Amino acid sequence: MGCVTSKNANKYTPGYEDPVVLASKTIFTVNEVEALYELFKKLSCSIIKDGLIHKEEFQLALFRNSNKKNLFADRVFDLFDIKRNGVIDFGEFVRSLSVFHPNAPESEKIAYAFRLYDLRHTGFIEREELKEMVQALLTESDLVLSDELIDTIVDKTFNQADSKGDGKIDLDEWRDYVKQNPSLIRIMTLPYLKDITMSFPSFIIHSENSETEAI
Amino acid sequence: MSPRSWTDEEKRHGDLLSKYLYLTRRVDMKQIEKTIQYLIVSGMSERPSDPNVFHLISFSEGFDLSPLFVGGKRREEGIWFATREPASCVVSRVALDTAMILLHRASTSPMAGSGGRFRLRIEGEERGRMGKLAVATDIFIVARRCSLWRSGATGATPPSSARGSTVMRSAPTLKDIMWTSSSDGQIATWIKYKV
Repeated sequence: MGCVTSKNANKYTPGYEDPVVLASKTIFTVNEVEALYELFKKLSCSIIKDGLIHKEEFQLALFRNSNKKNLFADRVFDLFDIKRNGVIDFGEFVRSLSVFHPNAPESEKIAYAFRLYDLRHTGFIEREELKEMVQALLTESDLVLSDELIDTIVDKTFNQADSKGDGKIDLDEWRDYVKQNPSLIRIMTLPYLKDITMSFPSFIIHSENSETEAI
Repeated sequence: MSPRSWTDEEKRHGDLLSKYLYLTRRVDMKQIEKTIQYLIVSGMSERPSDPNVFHLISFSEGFDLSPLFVGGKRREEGIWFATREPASCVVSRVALDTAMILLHRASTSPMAGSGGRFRLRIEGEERGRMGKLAVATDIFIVARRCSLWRSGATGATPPSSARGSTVMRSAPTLKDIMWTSSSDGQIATWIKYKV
């Protein structure tokens, strides 16, 4: 049923990985990975029924509007797309979400946030990138502030974070900065991931691994 | 340069609002006053502290992945606005207007923060289907003459006489009564808020 045709001998979505393997490589249990698969199937067949999450399907899921453009959602999508092939498969989905689990190591979250904000993948967060993100937020919020004011507030934060004063924020500076301001990585935790098995009880019927076998 | 003071019209509106709320006892006025004093004492003055731009960015809906799990509902929705009003003025207005719109007794609990960021929380006293309706407002003081406010209703489905969507759609009345654009252009802009 759904987008994955039963005629296909391999009845899973492209890029499917064994839940036992994924559970060993991520913070999720086998049952949680199976629950995530139910979610993944839903998301990946919402527009293009190929079992892969395309940008439009991601936008549809987040904003209820497949055409809505958002700089930050684009960044998240890019990072989820580990293989950089323009789509998110199941393996990438689970591995990426693992970082957002409340129990994931903080160092992983800090590094992930750094990559999110490094818009041009230079390995540093430059002042222009920070300004671009502020402008994106203001546009998204329909707020109009003068350029001078935007520069002022960007400068304040940037100078705090750029402790070495070399005009860019590197990962070490970012780590120190987050230690002083822990709320900066609030976006990196999704409380819903703790209860994922409750959201998709249908997995219980399809599960090939019982609770007692799971670690 | 000091912030713009109220016009006569605004003063009349403000007086009427206060009288209404006081007489109907919709809102514990003493609490509101205490709230403002508390916030001022704990440092919410007009000086800008260090607003953290990364923290502001974190409120973008592009980073909020909760709709993937909760069928389209967001963890936080909200309106952003910027203003040159002194923060203490805006606190009292947000409190009064929200309470009036909620049409119920409301209690306020100030949760003072630090670093130019504060939170004001207003809670209706009656319970809706899913608990009390609360409006939380985050205040970021970003520059001497500008603060960013973010108001959002959290959690509860309000009782039918005070729907959550009404709170947000009524927000433009706050603007109509209270703020007008100043001649130098640096002013409050309302976001249309989607429910």
